[in-house]
Amino acid sequence: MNVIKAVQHYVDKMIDDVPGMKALLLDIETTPIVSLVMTQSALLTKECYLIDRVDNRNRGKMKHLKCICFLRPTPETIRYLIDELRDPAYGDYFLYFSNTMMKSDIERLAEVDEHEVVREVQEYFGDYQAINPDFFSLGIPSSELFGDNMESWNQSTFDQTVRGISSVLLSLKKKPLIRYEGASVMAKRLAIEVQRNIKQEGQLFDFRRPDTPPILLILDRRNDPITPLLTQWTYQAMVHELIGIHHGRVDMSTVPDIRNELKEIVLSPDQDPFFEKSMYLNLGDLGANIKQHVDEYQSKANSNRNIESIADMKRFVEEYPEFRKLSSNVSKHVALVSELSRRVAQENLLRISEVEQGIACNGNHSNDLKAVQQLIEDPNVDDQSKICLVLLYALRYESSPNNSIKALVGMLDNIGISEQKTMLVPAILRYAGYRQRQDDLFSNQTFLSRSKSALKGLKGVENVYTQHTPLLGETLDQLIKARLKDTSYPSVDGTATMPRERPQDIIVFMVGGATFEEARYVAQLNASTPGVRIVLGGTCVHNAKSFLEQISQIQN
Amino acid sequence: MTFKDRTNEFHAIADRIRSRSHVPNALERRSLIQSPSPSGQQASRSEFSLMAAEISRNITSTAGKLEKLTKLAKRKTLFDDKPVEIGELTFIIKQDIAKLNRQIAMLQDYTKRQKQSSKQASEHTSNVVITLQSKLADTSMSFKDVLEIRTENMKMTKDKRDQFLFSAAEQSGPPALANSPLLKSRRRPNNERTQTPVASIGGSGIGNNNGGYVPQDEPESTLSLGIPMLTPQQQQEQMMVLEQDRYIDHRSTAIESIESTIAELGGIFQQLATMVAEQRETVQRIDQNTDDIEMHVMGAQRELLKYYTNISSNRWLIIKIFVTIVCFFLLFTLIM
Repeated sequence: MNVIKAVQHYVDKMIDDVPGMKALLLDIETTPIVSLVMTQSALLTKECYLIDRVDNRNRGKMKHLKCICFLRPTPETIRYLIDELRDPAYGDYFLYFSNTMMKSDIERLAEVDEHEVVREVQEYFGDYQAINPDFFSLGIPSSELFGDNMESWNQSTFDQTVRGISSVLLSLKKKPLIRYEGASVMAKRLAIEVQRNIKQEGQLFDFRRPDTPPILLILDRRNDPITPLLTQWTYQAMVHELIGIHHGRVDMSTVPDIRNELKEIVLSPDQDPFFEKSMYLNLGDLGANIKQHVDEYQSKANSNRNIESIADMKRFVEEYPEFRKLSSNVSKHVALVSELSRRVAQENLLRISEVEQGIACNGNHSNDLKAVQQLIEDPNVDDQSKICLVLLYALRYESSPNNSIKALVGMLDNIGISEQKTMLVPAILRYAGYRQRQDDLFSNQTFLSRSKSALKGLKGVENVYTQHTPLLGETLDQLIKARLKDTSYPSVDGTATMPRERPQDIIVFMVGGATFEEARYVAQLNASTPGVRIVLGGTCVHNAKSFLEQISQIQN
Repeated sequence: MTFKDRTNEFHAIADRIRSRSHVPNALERRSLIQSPSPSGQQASRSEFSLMAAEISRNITSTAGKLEKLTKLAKRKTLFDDKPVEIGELTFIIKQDIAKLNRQIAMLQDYTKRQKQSSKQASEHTSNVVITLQSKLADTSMSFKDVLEIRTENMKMTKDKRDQFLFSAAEQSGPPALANSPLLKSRRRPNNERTQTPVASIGGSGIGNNNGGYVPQDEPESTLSLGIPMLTPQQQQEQMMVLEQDRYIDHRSTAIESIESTIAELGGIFQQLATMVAEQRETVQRIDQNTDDIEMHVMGAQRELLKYYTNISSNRWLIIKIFVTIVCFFLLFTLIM
């Protein structure tokens, strides 16, 4: 149940199967998939000397190279591939497709293979971006999610999502029981289509049956709209929130006084042990950790300085590459963390986050209202945070009779925020208002949950900035204890009775995007509960900005 | 880590498309070759290239046949090999190769006769001829290889068959033919019948010696007519018998081989039975061990319960602890 390993295995197999010197051709979709799990140096060690895109037609002819094509079978890619095969630039072609191909496409390829260069045609189901070992994304832009209205899919996105989920299941060798969020039309449609796809590809999904069937749980973002709105404090989530991680890369070119080689840096838990260790730590712990990392580096640097004997020299030369690696790693993380802390100080994030967490977890109306009003009037707070605050307020107090959502929207108008952005407030209420939500998001609807949250308040919280746990946590807890209600999370089969024992393998898919906060929760849950393995996925990875974009799709 | 290999599907489709579009392709190629040949010299050169193309195409088709033959020859089945087809194919390929050789020789002659204007052109033609020759050599080499494989395979099959028919092969000599009771019974009337004319010959001789023995006349006349009348019949009959004998012989060897196989199978089954019996012992031991474990666990639980009751009923300990706590409490309050 490690998605990075799964995709890596596919890529390794692809490259190991073809002996000799080779070139790797990718398309626009598979480039991020491969780049997330492989480094160029790893490919080079396996005699893969050229990596290029299939849509780049200005490639030199190199008949002595064998060509591995790892492509997603979209019509566009097939067209490029046909052009390529008509006029082959390489000696042999080994075609690997990231998903099921249509028969007609194979026929078209066979038709143009006049030079008889195609050696193999295989389907390797690595059609998703593996971000963390237990977190994947389908990389679908948030603007392409909805169709005509907010309850329908965009058709091509829908097809891609179904194929993506199928490929995740196939690469993890799971034939799951599919459960979905009952109130969500999109989740239901997706669940049914995935089930149909599994039936259709019967012999592919013919795995050894485990004692307890794995569960694919399809959730909808609209059930938990507050998680992507909150300011994040753990390393990975924070980088994504403030700077943005795209396909494992962070674009630092906007950061002032940045060195040239740090303009674009790679953050991958697979290749960077320090990042793997600290990606779920909050900013305070992260500071301590980085200090330790720097100390380590310093001690190494000192030991490198005193070179007196030949043996020392030899040791130095041997250790130098390792040392260079460490030094670039240290400077990367130091630059990143210093940028994060600069942004925190500049944008008053501590204050904002305190108010956000207060709204999300405690719910004291008059205090919250006052704090939000203050922050809106504060010129140091940027516009997006203000909108997020108002959205959170609106979601929380939508149903209370004396709310002042209108007044807050008026205030936003007064300080000169464009109408397009203030329109997000009614949009999010339409998308994820309390009538649309299925679960008790703020735990304030039943007496039991209210008393539970009161008890939590009595106990006090460790860290006021990270007290919020995503709703996904509660859902997963119930699922692991086999207490998730069949009525609100039905299975696709309908008639099949739910197994009463604890499920072992759970794949959660979030329609409308998952967040790093949820990924962190899942990782912690994986570490703390033995015997349960959870993988989280989403159509994309949200930060506040991309989530606001997604909501802005709804209003028109 | 699932994946699906669709290479075969792809190749099947490619083959189908190729076979569908083969004829027009060849025509197209020929027209391509022919089209740039308006003037005389170019025409002669194109004639040369036409011939070369023809030869190379023939080589390719021969190679295709050879591939088919290889597939056939490499099959290692005992019963379903197709000697007739293989023989035919071998013959065809042999002929093809001979023909190609002749054609290439012709081509060479042609090029020698033709005076080339430039050195480059003559070099080109000789290169083409050499290429074709080497191609043909390759083909014939692989043909030889295939034949070797085939002979080896045949040898192997023979060995295998001998292995299977070991006991049968021993008996299937000529003595078996003679000893068979079935044959005896049939041969006897034959012998008797063949003896009759000899006797009659002898009889006639006697009759001749005696002279004027009238009743012997009849057999004498039958003798003169009878030998030509009798022998074809007899030969036919004997042939039939021989054929039948051979057939029966075949059957009997087959039956014997089946019998020996069944006997072997019986041995294997017996071995299996002993193995299963051995397994039973192990399983029984496992069963016993499980029982032991259960007993031990029960015992441990009982002991634990005993200890639990012991501890929980120990009032004196509780009082002691309580008194100690009170003492300490008093001490602390006093000190404070």
